[in-house]
Amino acid sequence: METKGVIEVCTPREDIIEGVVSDEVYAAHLGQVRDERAPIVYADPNTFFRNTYPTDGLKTTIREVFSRLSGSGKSGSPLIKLETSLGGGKTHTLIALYHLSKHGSRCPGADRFIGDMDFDPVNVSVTIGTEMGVKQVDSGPKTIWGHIAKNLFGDSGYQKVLEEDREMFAPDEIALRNLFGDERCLILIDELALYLAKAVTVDVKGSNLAKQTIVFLQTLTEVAASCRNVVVVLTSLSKDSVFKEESEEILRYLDSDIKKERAKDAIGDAEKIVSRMVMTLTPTKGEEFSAVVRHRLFESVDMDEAETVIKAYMADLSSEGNIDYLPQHARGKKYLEDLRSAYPFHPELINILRTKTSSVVNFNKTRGVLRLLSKVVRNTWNEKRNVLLIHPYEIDFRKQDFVEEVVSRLDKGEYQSALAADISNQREPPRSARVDEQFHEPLGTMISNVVFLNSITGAVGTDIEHGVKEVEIYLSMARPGFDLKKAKDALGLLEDNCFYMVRQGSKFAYQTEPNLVKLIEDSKDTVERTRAREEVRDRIKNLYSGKRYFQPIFFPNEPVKVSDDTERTKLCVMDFDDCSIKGKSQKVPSNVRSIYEQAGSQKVPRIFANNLLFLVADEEQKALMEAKSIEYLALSQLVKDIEEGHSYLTSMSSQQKDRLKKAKQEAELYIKVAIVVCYRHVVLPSVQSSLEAQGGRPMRILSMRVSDTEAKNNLANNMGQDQVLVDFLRDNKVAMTSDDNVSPEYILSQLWERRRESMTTDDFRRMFFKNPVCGLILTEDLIRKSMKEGVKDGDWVVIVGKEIYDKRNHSSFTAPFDSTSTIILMGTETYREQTTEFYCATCGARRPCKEHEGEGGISLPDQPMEPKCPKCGRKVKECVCHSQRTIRFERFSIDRIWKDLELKIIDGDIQKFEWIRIRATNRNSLIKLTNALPQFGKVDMDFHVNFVINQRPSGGNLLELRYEGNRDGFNSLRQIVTNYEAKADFSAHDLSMMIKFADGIGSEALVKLLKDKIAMFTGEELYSLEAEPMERA
Amino acid sequence: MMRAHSYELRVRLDGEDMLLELYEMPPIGQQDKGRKGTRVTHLRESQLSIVQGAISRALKNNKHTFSEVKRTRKLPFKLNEEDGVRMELIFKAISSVKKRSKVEDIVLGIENMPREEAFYWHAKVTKGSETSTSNGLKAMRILLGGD
Repeated sequence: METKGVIEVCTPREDIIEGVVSDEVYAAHLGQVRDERAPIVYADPNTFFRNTYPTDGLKTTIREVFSRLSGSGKSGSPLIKLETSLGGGKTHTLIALYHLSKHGSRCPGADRFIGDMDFDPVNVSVTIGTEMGVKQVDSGPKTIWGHIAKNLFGDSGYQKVLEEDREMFAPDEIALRNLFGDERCLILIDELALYLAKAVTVDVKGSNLAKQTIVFLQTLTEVAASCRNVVVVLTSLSKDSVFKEESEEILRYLDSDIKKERAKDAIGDAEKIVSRMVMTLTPTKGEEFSAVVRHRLFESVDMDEAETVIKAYMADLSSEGNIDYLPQHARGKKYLEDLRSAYPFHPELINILRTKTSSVVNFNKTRGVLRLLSKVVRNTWNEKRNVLLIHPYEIDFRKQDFVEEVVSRLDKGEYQSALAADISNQREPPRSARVDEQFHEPLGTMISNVVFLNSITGAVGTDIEHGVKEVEIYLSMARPGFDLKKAKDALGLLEDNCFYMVRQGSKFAYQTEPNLVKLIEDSKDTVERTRAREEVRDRIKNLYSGKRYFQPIFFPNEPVKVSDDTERTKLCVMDFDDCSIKGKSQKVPSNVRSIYEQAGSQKVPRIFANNLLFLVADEEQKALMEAKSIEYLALSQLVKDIEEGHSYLTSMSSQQKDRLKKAKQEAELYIKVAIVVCYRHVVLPSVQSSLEAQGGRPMRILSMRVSDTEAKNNLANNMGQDQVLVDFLRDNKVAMTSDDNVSPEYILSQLWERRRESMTTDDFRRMFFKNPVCGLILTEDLIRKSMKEGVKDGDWVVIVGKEIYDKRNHSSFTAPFDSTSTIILMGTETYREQTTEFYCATCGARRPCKEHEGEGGISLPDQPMEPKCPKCGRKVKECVCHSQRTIRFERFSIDRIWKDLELKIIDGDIQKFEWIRIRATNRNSLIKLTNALPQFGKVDMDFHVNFVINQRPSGGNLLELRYEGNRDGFNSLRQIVTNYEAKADFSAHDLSMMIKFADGIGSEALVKLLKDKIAMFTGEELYSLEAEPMERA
Repeated sequence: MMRAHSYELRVRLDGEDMLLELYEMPPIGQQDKGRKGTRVTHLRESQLSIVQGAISRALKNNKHTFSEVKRTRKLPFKLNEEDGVRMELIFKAISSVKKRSKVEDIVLGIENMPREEAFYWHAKVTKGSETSTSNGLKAMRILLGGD
């Protein structure tokens, strides 16, 4: 069977389609009907009854009232109370009664309501608590009985109770019987509670008007019960209608708590009296609700066609594929009934409006629903949406009309920003619209509408009624031919995307405040990755900008970016995109290596290789760093949006705003923490290459173990990262600051170029920056300190201009670094040559020497110089490179040496020597020694020759010669050594000759060799000699 | 070396209600030997809202989102061992606790436990005799949620 849409099946009433129904139409008002001021829909009985659905309650009420008044013998109730909540149709019932009492059973259009009853018009009194004052107007009645009498019988009736009215004393039974007589009277009293509340404020001789009214009420009910011609219809007497919302009018009367209490008591008393004999009727029962609505909105509905549609729906709801999506009751018989009664609306729509929307105080159940649905109907017909049923999503919050109806009118303005962000926005596509793009129909918006409608309830804050279950959403969406899986997908997308829609356990709901987590997640999506990386770079620059110890160089990618000098130590912070180190790997990244080994654009070898270090990112931490940056940027954007007052954020509470701001601050800290944790690898110059390192100059990688907490504390305490780095380097003993010490001995053994006797102080300084042996030198003060130390300890002297500094005047030494000051090792040739002008030649005392003033010549200082091991440079006493038994003679003639040696042999009981080493002290001695070489015979000789003749400063030549090897090689160099520019002086020279005896040489034989053969050649020249005794077998 | 166990969170429908069931799966690499997972505990839809945050984070750690938790979800959500252990602790710990604030404390406590502590409690509430596991559960509830 073909199903037809609502437009084909239903005919709405004209006024609904034309939209001529003004708002006040829905507010039925009994007083207006009485005064003939009411709109035609209420004032004209014909129209009124045609538009009214004959609910059971209404029909019962009419039957009860008029069977009693018609005198037909059937007994009806004398006192009827209409019990409904707001908007339940009680005013409607009163109007129906009013029309019938005016026109009798021949009232036009009333056939459906009165059945076969036949009655004439009756006297009717309309009393409405809201419009009745407690003060006399003109000469009119003052009290409720005065009003009733006047309403029923005009002035003549009023005269009968005039006295009681004036005195405000309730009339007694006789007076009332007298008043009613045999006339049939219908007394309608609406909003009595409100009147009572006002009446308590009027004092009546030891009592008050409210009490009198209650007495009257009691009398009236008794009279009505006893005589068959009077019926009283009351509306509910509940305190709530007065006190739930204390209107201004009421507060004007009840200006003290005592009065309020008295009013409450009065209402309670009235209720008690009434309830003794009342018949309570409910004009509209729940299940009739939809019928009432349909009747009011539609002229006619073709129920046969409707049945086809309903069957199709039922089939769809019970289909196998939808079982998991829908609640069980959707497959039950009851739901079929719901579908029928709700048609052409979806039962869920009626359900939501009845239970949820109606719980909003000023929605006013029936009227509110009618108003809203009439708009829905008008919209559906105007847009020719020929849908099968009108689903809840037809209340489309993209339309201003509905927003006004549901949001503005119901004082739910707090939802405006939720709407603006997620459902309806003129300027930018709302979140739901983004979901819509994924589907063929606007599923996102449809579901949002459903959830939104379900979120507008009177019970804000509790989750009893607020929101909608997943199954209910599907039920609201389900229609024949629609795949609910799409609804599921759309719901998932909405959940991820909407700022204000949240899931609280099983329910989905719109909230008045945005969901921060979603906001942040969403804002993150808008952050560009490149921007995030830039932010990280900026932060890195900021973090490592401290210049106290280092000169930071950010993201160098080629050697030329890092200058090769002895200025402040260069901290090269490598770009995390260029290179990174993975875990505990010891592999130095190639661009770090190239910068370390090369300098300048020509990529020449780097000279001051001990003056830079690299900070490299950790491979695994990079992503986190970026993520934190994205988070920070997202939060900054949000905070900025808040400050600029963007519409989608306006509803944010101040706590939420504060939370965001705080989150931003935290994110700012965490991005720093992430950077510090990521940049944990320090690549340093080293003397020893680690095992895994590849070729090239040795470097080592040290990795800081930074915990988040530690990093956070450091950052929070404003501890500069340069300081953290320095502490780490010092802990690992790879960097020195002025707090450290480098002993002169260490300098001599490790740093000082061997066999060099002097250098300028500037060279001394530069020496530290070339060789990584001491670790990084973070301050020149340290070098200065070491230089002073050496002077103080007597390791070297320094000549500055005309002054020499030695251990005697070290305290005044300022240790300048320049190319004119010279630092000279003690006890060297150079020392002797350079210091003659400063020391007395005789006693070695500083000039002017008091004792030997005037004497010239070169002299050694008083104390003989402590001999030093030629190999390690340490003082012989401290030397560890030779066995202690090695016999040494420093700077003696060979003649002297063999004599001493003879004594030592006897002292040490030495049988044999393994080897001897002879070292010449100057050029002459060298030449003479080379002449003596054949005398040693055929033995293994090992030569170390290193000499420099430098006459460049005086415009001459430069010769540098270095040789290590055997006798044959040396023989070919001999000519050069001995003859090259014979007159020139050696600037530096060193010749040592090691003679090894395969089976050792006997002590006596050695002495004989020296005494008889060598001494002849060497004459008075000075030599140093070492002789190693052979271990006895 | 012990292989890590994995967990699965499955959606099951119990009438209109949705149940979240937690399954402990055999160690990775042994699932093909015909060994199936065992259901260890479950969570009712009514309790969902209170632990939504924790579940949502656990799912996120395992590349899922909470919005995927829908009544018609058929595929299980795979969880790594640590998240699975925490979920089991949470589900079990709050199963008979009524007071909302207490549930919140317990959930927060379990979420904030270091890994080792979570595994310790997991052993306490899952291994051993019935008395000792139920005592373990009580002990943890008291520790985290007060008496």
